[in-house]
Formats: sequence, structure tokens, C-alpha cells
Amino acid sequence: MLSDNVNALVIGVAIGSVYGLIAIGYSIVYAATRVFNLGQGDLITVGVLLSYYLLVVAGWVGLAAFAAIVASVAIISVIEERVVVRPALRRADSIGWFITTLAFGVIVRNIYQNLYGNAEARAIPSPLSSKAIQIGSVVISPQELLAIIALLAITVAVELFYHRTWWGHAMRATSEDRDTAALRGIDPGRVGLLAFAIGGCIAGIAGYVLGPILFSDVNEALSLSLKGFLAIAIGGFGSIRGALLGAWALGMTEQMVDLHSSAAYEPVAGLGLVLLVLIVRPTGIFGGAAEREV
Amino acid sequence: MSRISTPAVSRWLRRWSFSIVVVLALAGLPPLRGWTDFDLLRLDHIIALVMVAIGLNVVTGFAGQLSLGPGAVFAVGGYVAAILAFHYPDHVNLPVMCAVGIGAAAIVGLIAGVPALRVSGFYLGMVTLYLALLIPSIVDSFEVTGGNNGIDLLQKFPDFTQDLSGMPLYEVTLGAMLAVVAFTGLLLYSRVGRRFTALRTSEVLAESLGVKAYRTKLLAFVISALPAGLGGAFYVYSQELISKSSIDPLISINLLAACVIGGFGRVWGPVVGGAIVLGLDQFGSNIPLVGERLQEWELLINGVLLILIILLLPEGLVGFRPLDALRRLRRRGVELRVVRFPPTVMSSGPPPLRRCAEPAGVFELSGISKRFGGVLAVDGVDLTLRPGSLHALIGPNGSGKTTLLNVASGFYRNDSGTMTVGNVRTRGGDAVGVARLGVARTFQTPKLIAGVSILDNVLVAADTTVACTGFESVFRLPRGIRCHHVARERALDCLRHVGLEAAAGLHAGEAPHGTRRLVEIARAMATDPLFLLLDEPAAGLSPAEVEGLKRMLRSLSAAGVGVLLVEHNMPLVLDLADEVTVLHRGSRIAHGGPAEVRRHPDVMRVYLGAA
Repeated sequence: MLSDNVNALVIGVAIGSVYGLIAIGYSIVYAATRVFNLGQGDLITVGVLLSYYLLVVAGWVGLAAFAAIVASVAIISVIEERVVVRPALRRADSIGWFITTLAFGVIVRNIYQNLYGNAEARAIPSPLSSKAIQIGSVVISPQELLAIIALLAITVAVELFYHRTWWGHAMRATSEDRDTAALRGIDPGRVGLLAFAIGGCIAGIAGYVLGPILFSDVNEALSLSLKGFLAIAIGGFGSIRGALLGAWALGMTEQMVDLHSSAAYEPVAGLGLVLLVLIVRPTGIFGGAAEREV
Repeated sequence: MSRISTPAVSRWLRRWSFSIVVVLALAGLPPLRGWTDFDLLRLDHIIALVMVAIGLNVVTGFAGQLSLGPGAVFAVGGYVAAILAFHYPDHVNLPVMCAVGIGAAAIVGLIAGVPALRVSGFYLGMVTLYLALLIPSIVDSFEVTGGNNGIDLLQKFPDFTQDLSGMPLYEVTLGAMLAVVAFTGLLLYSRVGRRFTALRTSEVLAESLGVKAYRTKLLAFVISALPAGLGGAFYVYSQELISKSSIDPLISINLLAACVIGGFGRVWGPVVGGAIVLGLDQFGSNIPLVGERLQEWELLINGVLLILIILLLPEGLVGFRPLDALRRLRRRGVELRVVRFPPTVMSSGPPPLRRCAEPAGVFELSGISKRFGGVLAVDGVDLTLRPGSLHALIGPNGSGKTTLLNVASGFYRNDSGTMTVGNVRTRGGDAVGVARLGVARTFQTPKLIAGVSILDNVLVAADTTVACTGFESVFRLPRGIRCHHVARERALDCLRHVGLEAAAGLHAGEAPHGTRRLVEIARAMATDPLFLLLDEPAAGLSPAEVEGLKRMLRSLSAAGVGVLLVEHNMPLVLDLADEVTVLHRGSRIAHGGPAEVRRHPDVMRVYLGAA
């Protein structure tokens, strides 16, 4: 029984890493622009579908496909920032960007759904071996391991970018106080654009890594978007580490619920966890306490 | 005809013509076109969903809480009604299903609202969107909800809805929707609706008027659930089935689109938007040549429409006034304001206050400190407001004046020190409690409710001085009407006092800066305060308006109100104040009469840089 639990927790970390890859894309964009990009799940799905198309239909080699996917998704993300996000930021409330990013996601979804047609979701071959790795009683597929490694690598890369580069400092400054940053010669518009570009790159990487796990499913984007949100709500907004840990906590909770009751309660468990965090600590585990603005 | 004045007729027409056209169109359309029963069934489907959109409009459009909850509530109301009909087919008819749908909706709204409303803004939007996504997967996995197949009433009882179908059912459904529209109309222009719009503008504004933000949000959330539950019941009754695909989360997004396109916050917004979005969904394929394509690209069309409307017509189609827009293009900005906003003529008579005749005691702040992280913004400050006296709070930028005012009005929690109003102990952090003790305030940047009239902006404050329930006000019961008249008179008196009576009916969103300040002062007065905290009321006023403000402040203190004036305009302060407190870097460096403070060496150093 113990081994079942351990196994569920490890799978939870792997599934959590899927959510984490979504959540980190959100975090980057949110920190710089205070926009929660509801199209992120669709960007990742574009990455998944492109990896299906390039690897399975067009027969590209892995690395070329990877570069093409990351570049294309980043371009779509930049288009999103320009066309629907920046104009919406002129409105004072959050309803503007909430709706435009949601609508952008819906548009992108409609396009890829029509391109993909009614075909069934198909498996995407993994570049790694398909043979499961067994460590003690824990069984994990190489691709799931790759998701965990990719998440850790991206987290480290983002933290390094934040602390070691000028643009990283600029981005953190903008997230702290947009107006003061602007006074210091940082253009919040360019920071926003860069954030969406990086968010798009991460979505592309996530799409490539998650493809073999998720299959070429055209209907999962909204659900992915929301799982990423739950991870951040648990971990705390604006914190990269928080996103990572929140995602793992969500993944592990889901797997434990799955193991001990039924898969039907899995989505409810996520919501329950978020509500619990909201009641105990509304800003998330790693989010700072906010003084109200008068 | 000749007896009725033309302006009255045109006002009446302007107000009601839209409603009349919509009602006639909806009632007359199907019979004129000779639509088949199948078409009517699709219309019933649309109308049921429009009811849900109307609920969405209440919580998001009126109360400003971004929520996609109504879609989830629709699902619950529908399933509960369907389960009941499935198990007790002999006892269940349309009214019972409606009652059950509404009841279930109210319960779900309350259960979901209590935890979810701890957050607001987009966060609430995300949580409720997740809820909308969750319910389909829940019904999928339980037997009582029929699993993947859902509940098909027609399959089990082939003659289930014999008692009402076709045209009569369409008429009843339409009637129910119109009743819901009428209800939201009554709601919007009631004291409850005014509180919602204050909350929409700013939670801080609502609390400064003594309105409990959380409770008001919860009320909006629960009220918004009711039409959604009703829509669920009508859906099940007319379509005779409910399944996973009836409650797809995409429906929630469609409903959001309907409200945005029609216009959030407008009574007819969801109906007009719903006719477009849901009409395209149900009847798009009927359009010759492009029909099939249209259905394929429906989401894309909705998405593009949504983005265009949000960016270009944020008021939606119902709020869009092409004539006004044209007029605005012709004569730009300043001139328009001059034309539309009459000059202010402030009264010099006594202000319309009642309570200040009572002996109130003093508003005493002692040893107040407030820290933000490492910055001690206010450091052990004492301050006393006496009835009938004007206390000025001055100091350089960043000296902690506004922070102290925010503690005094209950918006910041003070780290140490005590606050008493009369002999009641209160505390920073309890804005509603402070407001209810008779402490009113204005803001450095006026917080006016956009989209409603200047009178309504003041009325929301006057509402707090009359005793009637929201129910009496919404349903226009005798006491509600009486209270409304009293509050309205009071609001008009306050507007008259600041010289804005002639502007009462104009839109607050278009008011120029000076007018906005005066409206805020009138609003603060309308709460019948014992103490009034004014945050830089003279900033941005014209010299004539400053003179008026002076007269007004004098009359306020003559009437017995204790006024705290945070101000940079020194001549004004020295001219008016009975007492002056000077802050510098969070501490009080001087206190006394204006002449005394002016000569104080520390004050001279801080202000003039003299050694």
C-alpha cells in the first residue's frame, strides 16, 4: 500500500510538472503586465499539434521541429500581445484583458480545431525510449521524467534571467511598480512584449514536451489553462517558485484523491485545495500580503 | 395629446421606446413568419440561455464582479429540475420545475459564493470559469445525472410535456424572460442596484458609504443565480433533455460574449447580445450559401466580435449612441462640457443635515502609528475633531496626511493607537463600522459611479439615511416608494447645496473635474455625517469654485459638523481652519490655531527651508 502511495506522489509530481509548465508561462506574463493570459492553454495546444504535424505528418527530425515549434508559438504570443492585450490595458478594470485574452484563445482554438478536423486524438511519438523506468517501486515513463526536468530547467533559467540580466531586472521592476519603472527609463510596453515572447517560448517548449503525454487532443486547452491557474492560485501570484510548488501540490493532491477515492473527484480536489488556500491565505502560499489601495 | 408637454413625451419615448420595440419584435416575430415547432424549440433554447445571461449581467454588469458562475448554476438548476421530473413525472409541471430550479440555484449560489467571493477581479472570474468546467465532468461520472447520456425525458415519457408546447410554450418562456428583464430593471434602479453600482466602481467607495462589500457581493452573486436556475428549468422543460453537451463550458463563454456585445450593465444588453450570439449559434446554419461555413467558424466570429466590441464600443451595442458619438466628434471636449454642465451656483444657506444638532462628542485619534514595510508613514499622531469646528491637516508631500486620513476613515489598520467616535471605541481597518458611526470622507481622486446620473451618485449615500429594506425598494412597495422620495429629496438638497441641482440628471462619467469633486462632497453630506474627512477638496477647482467651497465649509461647521481638511492650498487653510495640525515625516511637528502654527519655527523650516 505504501508503494502505491509513493508511486501516486511521484506521478503527481510528473502531472504537476505539466501544470507547472503552463503556470510558469502565466507567471512570466503576469509579473510583467498584470495580465493573466487566458490564451496560454491554447498556445500550448498549438505547440502540441505542431509537434504532431511536424513529427508525424511531415516527418521532421526532433531538433528542427523543436525550434520551429518554439518560434511559431512565440510569434503567436507576440501577436496576441500586440493585437488584443495592449489595447485592452487602456481600460482601468481587469474585465478588458480577461475577455480579450479569452477571446484570442477561442479564436486560435477555432482555427486549429478546423485545421485538425474531426480526427481522433492521436499519440505523438516520444523522442525518448517508451520503456518505463523503474526505481524501487516507482514506475515512471521517460517522457514524464522529461517534463519534470524541463520544468526545473525553465524555472532555473527564468530565475537566472530575473536576477542576472538587465531585462530581467527591468521586468521585476515593472512588476513592482509600473510607473516608477517607466520613470527610470524602462519601457513597460517593451517589457510586456518581451514577457509575451518568453511566455510563448515556454508554451512552445511545453507543447513539445507534453505532446507525447497529452496526445493531439484539440479540446483540452481551457482545462489546461485553468489547471495552470489553480497551480498559481495555490503557490501565489508573481512567484516563480510558488508556481512550481503549487503545481506539484496540485498534481500530488489529484493523484492521491485518484488513488484513494475515484478519478471523478480529481477536478473537485483541485478546486477544494484552492478554496482551502484562499480561506487560510488568500494571496497563495508564496504570495506577499497586499495592503488595500485607497 | 395637447395636454401632455412635448419634453415629457419625448423623455418617455426615449426611456421606453427600446423596450417596446424589443417586446413587439419578440412577440410578433414567430407568428408572422409562421415558424415551425422545431424553430420555436430553438427559440425556447435561446431564451432559456438569455435568462442565464441576464443573471450574468446582474453580477458582472451591475455589481462589477467578474463571474462566470451563472453558467454553472444553469447546469445545476437544469439537472435538478430534470432529475425531479424523471422520478416524479406525475407531480412535476412547469411551475414546480421553475421553483425547484430557482431554489437549487439560490443554494448553489450561496455555497459557491461564500468562499469564492473572498477574492475579486479576474481571480473570481477564473474560479467561476473553473466551476463551469468542473460541472460537466461531475455529471459525467454519476448515475443520478445519467452519466454521459444525460437525462432524456422524452425517451422515458413520450408524452411528457403535452400540457404546453409549440407557440403557447414559446409565449410562456418569452413572458418569463420579460419578467426577468423587468426584475433586473427594477433592481438596477433601486437602492440595491445603486449599491451594486457603487461596488462596481470601487469596493473602497462602497465601504466608505457604510455598504458591506462582501455581503453586497454575495447578494449580487445569489441574485444572479436565480434567473440562471430559472433558465435551467425552462431549458429542460422545452428541450425535454439535459446532458453534458447542454452545459458545455463554451456556453459560459458564449454568454459572456452576449453580455459584452449587448452591453454589460444595461438592462437590455444580454437580450440584444444573446439574440446575436445565440441566434448565430442556433440559426446560423439556416443562412443560405454561408450557413455551413458560419457554423464551422462560429467561435472565431464570436471571438473577433468580442475583441472588437471590448476595444471599440466598451459600452456594448445597447450603450452605443451613434448620435452622441457624432455630436462628440463635431464639437470636441471642452466645449461639450460647457454646453452640457451648467455653472455651479453654491448656496450659502445651511446644509441639509439633520444629525449634527445632536450632541456628538469628539472624534479622537490618539497615538496613531502606521507602518508600510520598513517605512513608518504615521508615527504616534494625536488628532481631535470637534463638532462644529474645522481642523486642517497640512504638511509636505509624503508627510503622512492621506495615510492618517485612511486610518481615520477605517481603510488602513493602524499598528498602534486608539480611535473613538463620541464614546464608541473603533479601529482602523473597519471602514464600514467607522462610516456607520457617522464619519464620511471624500477621495483625492474622486470616485464617481460612471454610467449613472449625478443624482444617483448622491442617492446611493442618501439611501443609507432612510430605513427600508432592499426588497421593499426593488419591488416598489409603499414603504420603499416613500423612502425613495425622502432619499431623493435629500440627495437633491445636497446637490443644491453644492450648486449642482441643474446637473442632477446628467451622466456622472462625463462630468468635468471640478464638478466631480463637488459631487463627492454632496455625496458625503448625503450620508448625514457627524464628521467629514475631505482629502484635498480644493485641488483642481477654479478660483470661483474655491470661493464656493469656502462658503460651503463654513456653513458645514456652522451646522455642527466636525470637518477634517487635508489640503495644500495654504490661503484656504489659514482662512478657514479653527485648528491646524502639521505633519512632517509622519510625526506631528505643530498643532494650534492658524496664526500660531504659521509662526511656529519648525513649520517655517519645513515649508520655507528657513534655518
